[in-house]
Amino acid sequence: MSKALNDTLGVKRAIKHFDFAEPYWEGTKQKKLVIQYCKATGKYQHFPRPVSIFTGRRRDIEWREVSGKGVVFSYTVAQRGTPAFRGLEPYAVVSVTLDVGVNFIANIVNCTAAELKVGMKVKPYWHPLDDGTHLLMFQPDNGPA
Amino acid sequence: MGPPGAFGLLSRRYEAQYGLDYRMLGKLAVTQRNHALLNENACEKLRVPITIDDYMNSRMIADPIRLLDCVMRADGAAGLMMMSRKRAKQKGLSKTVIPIGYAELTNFKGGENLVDVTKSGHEICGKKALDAAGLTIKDIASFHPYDDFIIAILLQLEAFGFCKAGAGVQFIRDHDFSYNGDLPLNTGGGQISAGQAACSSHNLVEAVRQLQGEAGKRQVKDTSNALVTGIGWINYGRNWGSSAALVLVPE
Repeated sequence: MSKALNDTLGVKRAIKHFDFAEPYWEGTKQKKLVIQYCKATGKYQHFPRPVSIFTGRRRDIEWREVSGKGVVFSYTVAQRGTPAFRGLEPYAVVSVTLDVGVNFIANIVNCTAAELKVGMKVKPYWHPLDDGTHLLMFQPDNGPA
Repeated sequence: MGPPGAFGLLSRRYEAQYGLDYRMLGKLAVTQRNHALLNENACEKLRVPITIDDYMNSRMIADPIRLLDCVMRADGAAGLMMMSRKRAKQKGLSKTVIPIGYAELTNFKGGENLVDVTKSGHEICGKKALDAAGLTIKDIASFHPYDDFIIAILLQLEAFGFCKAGAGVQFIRDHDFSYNGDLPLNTGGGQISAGQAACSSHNLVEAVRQLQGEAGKRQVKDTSNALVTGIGWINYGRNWGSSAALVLVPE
């Protein structure tokens, strides 16, 4: 079954920004994925938090641009969406393990139900929002690295 | 995405790691439904028999989560009276149940950035609660796990050590979870088939009822103890954020 999945690009997004996550949103304006890195432990973390999850300290956090490439860790195909997504089913939600070792949950586009598999390679798809930021989604990565 | 989507991600990951025979989740759904048929307090709408095929054919909500995986919203109430032994005696209450082991864990592996989502804090707090009770998992006479989605029961069978990680499907295949089976499970129907009227109080009330010997047609034979569990929310990219375990024995 190569059933098409809907891309959810038409959904009105109302996303609350937290102060401590502003560097993330700033990065998305240039279609750059900028996530938190803990200087003390050398590990990345996502979603953004006020402190390092590894040390609990604010001062250990810095922001680094990463490729956004990764592999599908898991996925689900919504057949009964939450209210804002109603009528767009089926659409997929993926959890992607980025190449820097964090999981990122997002929608996936340009992908059929038959293609979608745990372990498949994906790359970023930047969906523009009204406020100048972009929402990170993923798409299959079939090309050369 | 909602709770079905969150559990869809957990289920699909489990399937990728270990393989998942969905018919065995169906077996749990049918067992719980059969218990609800014997529970006059269960939600009337849910007191209709189902088969494993009904489970498999129920419509997808967040693939691989089906309708019959999901807990249904329901109105209702549940209550327990808690008091000292002395007060119980004064009141002339003879059928009392004692909590002898309790543990909970919040933010399991919160200090890691990439976790195995098929594992939860139950693997730690389950052992703590059993240790406090002086029991091992093999001693458990009936099991009343929090069930918002059927897959949560499978994950708890593994986390509590009834079987090893990844062996839950085989464990379900090999055991009878009916009230008169070798491991009675959610004998009141669970939240999924009795109704999630007051969150996890259903499973707790049912365990107390069993230990009091007041479970009527679904009364278990072995009332020496019962293990009740709780789950709280799903964190981003993780398993549930809070895990709880409670061992009860009759006075």
